[in-house]
Amino acid sequence: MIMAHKEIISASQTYIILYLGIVSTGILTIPMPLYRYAQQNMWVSLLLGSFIGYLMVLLISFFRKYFPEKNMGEIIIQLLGKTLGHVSLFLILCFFAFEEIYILKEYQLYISDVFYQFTSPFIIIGFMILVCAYAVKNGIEVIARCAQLILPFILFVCFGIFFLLLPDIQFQNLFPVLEKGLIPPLKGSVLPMVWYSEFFWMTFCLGSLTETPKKIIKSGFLCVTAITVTILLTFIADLGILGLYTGLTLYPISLAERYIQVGTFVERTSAFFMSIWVLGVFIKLAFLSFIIIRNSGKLLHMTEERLLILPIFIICFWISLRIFNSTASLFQTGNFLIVVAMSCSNIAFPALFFLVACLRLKINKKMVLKK
Amino acid sequence: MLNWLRKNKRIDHSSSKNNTKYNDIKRLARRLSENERIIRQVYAKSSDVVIKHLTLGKAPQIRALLIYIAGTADVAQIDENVLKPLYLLKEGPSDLASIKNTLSIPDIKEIGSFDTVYQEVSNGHPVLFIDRLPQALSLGISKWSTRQVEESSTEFVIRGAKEGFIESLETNTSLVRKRIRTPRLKIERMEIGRYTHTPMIISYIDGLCDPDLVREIVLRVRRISEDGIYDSGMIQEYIQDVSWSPFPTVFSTERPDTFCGALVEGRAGILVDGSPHAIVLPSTFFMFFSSPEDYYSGFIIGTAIRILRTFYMMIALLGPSIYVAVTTFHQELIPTTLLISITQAHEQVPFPTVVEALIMEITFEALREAGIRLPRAVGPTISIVGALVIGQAAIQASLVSPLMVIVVSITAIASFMIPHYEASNTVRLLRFPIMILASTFGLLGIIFSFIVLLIHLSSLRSFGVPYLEPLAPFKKASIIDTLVRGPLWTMKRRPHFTGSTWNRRRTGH
Repeated sequence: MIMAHKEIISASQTYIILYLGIVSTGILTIPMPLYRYAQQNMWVSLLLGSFIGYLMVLLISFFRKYFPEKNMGEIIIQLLGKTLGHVSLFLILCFFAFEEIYILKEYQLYISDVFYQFTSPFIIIGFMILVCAYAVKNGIEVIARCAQLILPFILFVCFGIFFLLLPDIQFQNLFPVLEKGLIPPLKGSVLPMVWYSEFFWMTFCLGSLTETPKKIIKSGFLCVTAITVTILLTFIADLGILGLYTGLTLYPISLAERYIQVGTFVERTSAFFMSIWVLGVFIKLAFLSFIIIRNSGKLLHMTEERLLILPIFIICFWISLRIFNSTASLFQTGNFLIVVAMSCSNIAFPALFFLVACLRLKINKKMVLKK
Repeated sequence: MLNWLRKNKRIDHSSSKNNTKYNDIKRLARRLSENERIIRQVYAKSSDVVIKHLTLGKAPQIRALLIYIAGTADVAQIDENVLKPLYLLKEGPSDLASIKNTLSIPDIKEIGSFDTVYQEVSNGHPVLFIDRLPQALSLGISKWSTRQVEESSTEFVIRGAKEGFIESLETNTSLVRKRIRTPRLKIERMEIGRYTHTPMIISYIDGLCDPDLVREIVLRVRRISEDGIYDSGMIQEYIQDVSWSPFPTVFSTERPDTFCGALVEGRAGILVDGSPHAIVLPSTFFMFFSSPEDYYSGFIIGTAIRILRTFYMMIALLGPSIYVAVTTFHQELIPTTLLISITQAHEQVPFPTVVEALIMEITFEALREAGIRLPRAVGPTISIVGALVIGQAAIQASLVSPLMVIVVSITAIASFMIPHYEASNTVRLLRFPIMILASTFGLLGIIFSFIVLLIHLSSLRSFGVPYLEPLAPFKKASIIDTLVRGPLWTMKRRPHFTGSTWNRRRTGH
């Protein structure tokens, strides 16, 4: 009835997706490993790491400017040629698939550890896979709209936890600043950097954007800053309440949040916050799986990408039930692997593409313009 | 076997040869007796059709024939404005123009073929045949039995107009015209239903409403091939974008002021003869959750009421589910003293909480449904029995715990806070799957059903407009009129419909 139309989303909608994705997993899993590197200076690492976010926004607007109306998948093939382009796109998608499985596992282990000890991972992951498949089937527009609706809930969780904990926060836990110099926070900044590099995912829906590159930069910087502020607040809450224990508990924010008490009425609210936190994870996973499915469709030259939803999700489901069966293995092996995978797919590859694009632009300015 | 198949095959009799006489496009004959023969044949076995012979004039006498359906034509007017002047004629008229001048009726049409004759007669217009003239006159003096304009029975307000639409299309359009006094208000007439020929109108304001929207509506309405259309609800089901959704994507209202408000916003409306419910297109989610009174009672009160309504909508949707999830999975969320009293009350009950909740909710739904269909006389009896059964007796028999009764009654009240009846039905229906998920997976189940709802709502469109607009996609200009109700002077812009199908060529503002 209604004509099939091109999917159109705004840059701010995409940034909301990224904000939700980075914040919801960031507040949960960054603090513990980061504390081991940087101790009470973990907020310095966060600030240092956020630079990659700003760089990524610039990179997004660069690709937007020189390759208008094109998604990253198409840009890669145009830049590197057919064979090399397809190979590198495939590699990136493999990394993405691993990231997807990692996030699924992260979510499932957190839920199983803290809330549903007796529910099988099959159910917890299965639910998430089902809703993601439903979202992907409906396309990026719907995911973006869901993100807009979910944003207030996540903001409520992040800021709600901070403000309710404010009376208990002991700010002396944040000092001394940089007692061992800048080296430990620098080492630790790899971790937040990896999270911020998720901005690269946005390049895969550049074709659906309508804004000018300038606007993309503006709202992008705003988004990076908002992420930094949000995660910073939770860091302060973690450090101010748990201090040394930040590095000893798996989910510091989950532990800190148990200190919330308003009268005798609002207390022990973990389950409530957890359930809202799931909303954020859902957006992250739905967006990532949308990218994977859309681009695998391109890779296989399929016109109907929806056919891929079932097989790809079944594979992800199967693998996520097999690997990282304990929280320990997730944090020991998984954390290292995810840092490697993320820095490959989200930092090394984009840098490579950027260089190739610069070279090509310099050699033949007309080439891009013609296409 | 073949016979059985043939029996089950739906045969469309309207196209068989025997019935072509009803769609006769033949021109009228010059001879009156020929015309009469054909018409008597068509209206055989129709006792309510009146065929009256007249003789006009004195010197050259000319025969004439008047046909109408008893009860649809205004007999007093026929007497006063048709028969009297015709009998007073001195000489038999020779052409139609002179007869037209004789009759004191403003709405006279010349018709030339048989099918138009049948149409006009069915519309309640008496048709006058004159001998030796190959044309007939249709006299626009129909009179159908209707009820008076009354207060709408489903959408009550304290402040605001009390008028509601009724079953007569003409009265309804006059109610609209009364409120929008500009020639820009367009009322396009169509007929649908293969046998009922139900008149309906598509109404919009020229210059505010997108022409593509009107075109799309006409296109979709034309596609309806139903034998009979008796209510706008049937049209609604045919023209909505997505049929497989519990949410209504077409807004219907009984109130002329709501209807006119929507037209002035740039929407289009459909009115169907015989139905007091008007349709407004495109419709968005928030239309179903706002009442016209929000706009009449000041923005502070309006906003407060809307927030209250949103809160209770969430309770209507999730109330029992949250109760079930929290008491079975997350007892730590409940303050200790309350938890103790809940457990104590539940100790006597032999069922798990979810069974308790389902029993109560289904009983309530039964009472509600029965309450609508009850004959007036037995109403009080049933309500007493209902109150006793689901209130007092169920607790005393330890079937349910008192707290569950409180939860269910709050939910029941909450579901009726939704101003639109269809939307409240949706919310009530969705409660059941969520309750079952909550009982099996706790808050996680609720959150996942919430996610599914979000995805579904975001994917819905009503005539190309995203259903959740202006919340998602976010529209800064009209966000002031959703969960809150901003002051009227801040609503400077009309709702911006982003349906890419038509928004591009938006004319006039």
